[in-house]
Amino acid sequence: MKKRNAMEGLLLFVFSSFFIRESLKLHKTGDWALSPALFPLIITIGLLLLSIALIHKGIREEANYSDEKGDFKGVLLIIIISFIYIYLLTKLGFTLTSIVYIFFFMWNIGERRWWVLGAISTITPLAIYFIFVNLLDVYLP
Amino acid sequence: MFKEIFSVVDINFILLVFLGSVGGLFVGAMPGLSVTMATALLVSVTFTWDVNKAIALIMGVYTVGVYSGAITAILINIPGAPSSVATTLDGYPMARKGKALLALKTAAYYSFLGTVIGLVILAISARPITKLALAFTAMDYFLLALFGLTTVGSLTSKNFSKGMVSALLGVFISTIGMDPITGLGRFTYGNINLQRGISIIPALIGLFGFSEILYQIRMGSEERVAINIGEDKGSAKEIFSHWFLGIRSSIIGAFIGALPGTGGPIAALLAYEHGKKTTRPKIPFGQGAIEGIVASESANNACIGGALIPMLSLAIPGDAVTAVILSAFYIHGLRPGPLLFTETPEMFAVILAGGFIGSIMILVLGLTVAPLLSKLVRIKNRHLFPIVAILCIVGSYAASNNSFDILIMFIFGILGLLMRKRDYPVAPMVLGLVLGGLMDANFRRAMSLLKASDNVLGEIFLKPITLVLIVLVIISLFSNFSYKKKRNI
Repeated sequence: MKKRNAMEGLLLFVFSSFFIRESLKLHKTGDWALSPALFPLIITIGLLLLSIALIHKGIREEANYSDEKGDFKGVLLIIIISFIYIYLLTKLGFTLTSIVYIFFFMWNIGERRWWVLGAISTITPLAIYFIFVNLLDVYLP
Repeated sequence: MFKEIFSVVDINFILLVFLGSVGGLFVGAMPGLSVTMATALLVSVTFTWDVNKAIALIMGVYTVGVYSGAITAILINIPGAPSSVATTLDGYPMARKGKALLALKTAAYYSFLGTVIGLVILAISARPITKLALAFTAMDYFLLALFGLTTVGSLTSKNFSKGMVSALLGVFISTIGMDPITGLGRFTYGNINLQRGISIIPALIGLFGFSEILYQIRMGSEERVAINIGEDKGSAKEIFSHWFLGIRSSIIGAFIGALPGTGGPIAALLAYEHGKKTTRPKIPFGQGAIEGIVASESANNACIGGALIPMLSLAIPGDAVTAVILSAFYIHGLRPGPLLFTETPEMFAVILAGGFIGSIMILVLGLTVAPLLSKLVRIKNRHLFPIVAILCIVGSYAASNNSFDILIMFIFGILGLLMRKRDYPVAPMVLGLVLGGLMDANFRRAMSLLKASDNVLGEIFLKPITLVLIVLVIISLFSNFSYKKKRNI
């Protein structure tokens, strides 16, 4: 992908324009000094100006070096199972959900030995549950 | 002052600092974990505790954590904590020449020195600065926070625009939620969870902890290789002969730490540069000069005491970790700032006590255990990361018992990943998140005071503190433009 900086600048431009409009909506009465809209407005306008600077700089640069080595799919999967974690947390409780999560997490980043997978994914949540709930008085679902 | 410090310390306190120290030793040494994240986790986990105990634990983690970043910096050229970047420059070459043990011991001694000097400076200057702080107007608080943001934006990245984008985004995110002055919900879109605002602890855990994991996975980090410690223990003279450089570096470190927003890495690098200019080492800098470690480690630990100065006297954090400690104070019902010394003066002694004991722990742990740590670093990423992920989750949940905070943590983790990949520095965003609320409230107060006053220009230009701050902000902003021309970005 070429000219990434310029594209990010564009994204920021859209983002800040949207929120400038949203900030203006916050202004109810006539007094600007105390208005809740004032500060967000200044910030979003600042972001807008910065986005223009980014676009300007980005257009002038050459195509970016490619650095796509590494594990893109792996990270994506981790992100997906993380969101699933939150969904399952309320249904299955901390311990069970965490066991499943650690299992898939480790499998995803390379561990394949069944006994290691099983051991770490069960012992860790149980240990954490014990330490945090019983010893440290922290509530976990 | 000594009397107050000793009255706070008992065997429990020492044990807690020790516990924190061990944790800090481990966390600081592992490149995938960060002291900021560990502190954030601790804050949320200890929120039901007595505040003294929580502080003891946190100070232990903080002081030893900053030191132990040097361990992996020396052994495998990867800084365990950002503050240890400068230590890799000479520490790793020393290790490769078989002098790893000498390097490690030097790091321990001078981290101890730096911590102590930083804390002494804190002890001496906090009260006078607080008196100065009482003279601060709302406009001054706003300008100070702004100065912190511009400084950190310029110092932490090659690209000032990106640094400021990060900072402003952080400030913007901090406005989400209920406006404290009018009670109006901002950017909440009817979501009850957003009404509470974005909690800082889960955001920090996400930005520093989870995003680091994601980043390492994304980059496909190789498994790390342990290195042989080597037999050269070095002589006491070799280590201690640089004491004056150590003191000078500590002062630099404390000063940099006291500036809002700047912290360990910058202090260490500046002290390193200073060392280069002022000493004539037997081995040149960059190839294993012991002076390099002396300068870098004294400075990054002195930063601890320095960063606590604005945190305690002005309620403005000196760096990311003090930002977390600041929220710890609020969680426990304390109010840092000028009133801290009148309302709860014993907290000052607690922090100093924790810090001094922590510094002793640096010596104790650093000289005895650290050499063994080269084995610890061999834990495989694929076992470590899931465990750390769960700790991040627990940490985000613990303070509020709200699973929405876990979502915040994940989102900030992803955000942190994207930012790191695209060269947007994370530190300004942290500062923006923490300072945003302060800036907003003070800005509006300042505006309404200006409106109500008869002499608007006088309010700004006739007040010495305000004038100084305005000049500082302008310098901080404009120093970036000539800098950019030189770098040809």
